Amino acid sequence: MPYTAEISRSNPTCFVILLDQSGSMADNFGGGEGLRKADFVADVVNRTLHDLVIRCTKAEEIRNYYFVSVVGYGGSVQPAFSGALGGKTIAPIGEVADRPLRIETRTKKVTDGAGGLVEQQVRFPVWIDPGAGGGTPMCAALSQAKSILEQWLSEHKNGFPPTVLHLTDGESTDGDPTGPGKEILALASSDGPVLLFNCHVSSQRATKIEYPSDGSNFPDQFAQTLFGISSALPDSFRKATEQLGLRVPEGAKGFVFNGDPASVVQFFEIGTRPANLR
Amino acid sequence: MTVPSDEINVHKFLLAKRGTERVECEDAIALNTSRLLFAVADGATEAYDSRSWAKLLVRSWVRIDPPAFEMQDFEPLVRDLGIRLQRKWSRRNLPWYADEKAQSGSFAAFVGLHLFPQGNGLGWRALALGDCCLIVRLHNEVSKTFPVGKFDEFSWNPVLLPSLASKQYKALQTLRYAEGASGPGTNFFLLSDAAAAWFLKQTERKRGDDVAAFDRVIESDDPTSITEFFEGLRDSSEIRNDDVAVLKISVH
Repeated sequence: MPYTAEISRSNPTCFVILLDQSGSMADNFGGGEGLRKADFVADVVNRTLHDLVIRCTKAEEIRNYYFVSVVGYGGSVQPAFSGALGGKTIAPIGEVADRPLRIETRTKKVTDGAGGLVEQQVRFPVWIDPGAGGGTPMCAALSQAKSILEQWLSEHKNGFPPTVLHLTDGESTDGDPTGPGKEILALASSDGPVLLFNCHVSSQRATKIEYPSDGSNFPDQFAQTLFGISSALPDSFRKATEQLGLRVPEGAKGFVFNGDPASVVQFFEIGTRPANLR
Repeated sequence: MTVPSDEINVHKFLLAKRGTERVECEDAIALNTSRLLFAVADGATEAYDSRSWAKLLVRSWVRIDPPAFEMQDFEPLVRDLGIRLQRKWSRRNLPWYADEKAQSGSFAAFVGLHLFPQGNGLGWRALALGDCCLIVRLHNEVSKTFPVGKFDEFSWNPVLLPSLASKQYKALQTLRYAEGASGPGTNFFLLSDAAAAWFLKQTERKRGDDVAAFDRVIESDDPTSITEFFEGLRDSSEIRNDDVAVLKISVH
């Protein structure tokens, strides 16, 4: 049965995060005032990396259950890590933990235990900064992800298959991404094909579609294209969606269209929850 | 290891999950044969330093006099142990991620057993929180499984005992108690969840031969044979790849 391999130091898994950093990512969510997409997405990715690090922390050591790659695409296609990890296409989670770009202090509202909220200072490690500029070379980005995965899979043949989390706000400007997407979906470890999940965020106020099983009624061709290169959610990921209060149909795909900020947070939470951590 | 006394024999065995080192085993066993107190704990895989929390729980519990069975005794014990552990962590110069995870504390399942003279035999009482189990068998017939009664009652998310004092109250509401009498021919098994689930499954499937083989190998006290036994079960997916703790107490 696919997607059941235990994740361990000897059989780690891999996350590749593909981030659209085109010029339109400088716009706000939903077309209004407020959150700039690029800022919000960078925060979510940094929070996701933080959560992966914490999950692998046993005592004073980090166990390398995961390898992580973050690729940004806009003016160019390049690794999005900055600082000590700058230029690295992929790194074990222990190295990610030890080399954030900086650790910021932020304010978070937490419950005071008496029904109210109080502000608390929290550490916020940063590995990537927001980026927004240029076009949307989605095909080149998917091809780079494929190269990273081919190399990684040649060294890790038997682990839980890698997961690609792709976030974009617009249509590809370098061709139809179906071909490069299908090439990623054709890669596999002995535990099953690589998982490719796609999340589209919108600058317009539009009805969002989350984790559908059927793409026949989608509003446009681009939605159908992304749906066509999205993997079905394996059981452990479907459980994660249920834990977040989402009801997803049998055969649901890892696909979000016209997502809002909450959708982005959930997308990364669901996409980084393979079970069987050992 | 065999610890003979007038009325009991004890056999214990710990095995780390495959792919981890022996020193990384997060299950813990402790026994006090002079006072007939026995305990097994299972530290949560995703928690911080759960090996230390599991060891601290069992070692402290078998030492405390009188045994901490009632809530008014158990609650202050685990509160003090949790505070002690948090203090130990806070004295270390930890990297940011370890410091942050330590603030969330650790978690473990726990089961404790006390045997005491009663009439011509031994009385017993037990307490448990989470899915570490006590299985009582008389002449090869299971007479009690506690606190999990059936194989399909094991879940991925059992309630566990937190090290953080602020989180303990809610978990302690799920503390369970059991008691009974025993005599010659009674066997007590204290098991962490993977071994307990396997034992209950084999019992429910009437696989007496498998359970007898388990009995023999545990009584051999030969670590190599016992390891091979469990590795065989892992190979055939009969048992989850998890840490294994087995503590068997046989009444003569």
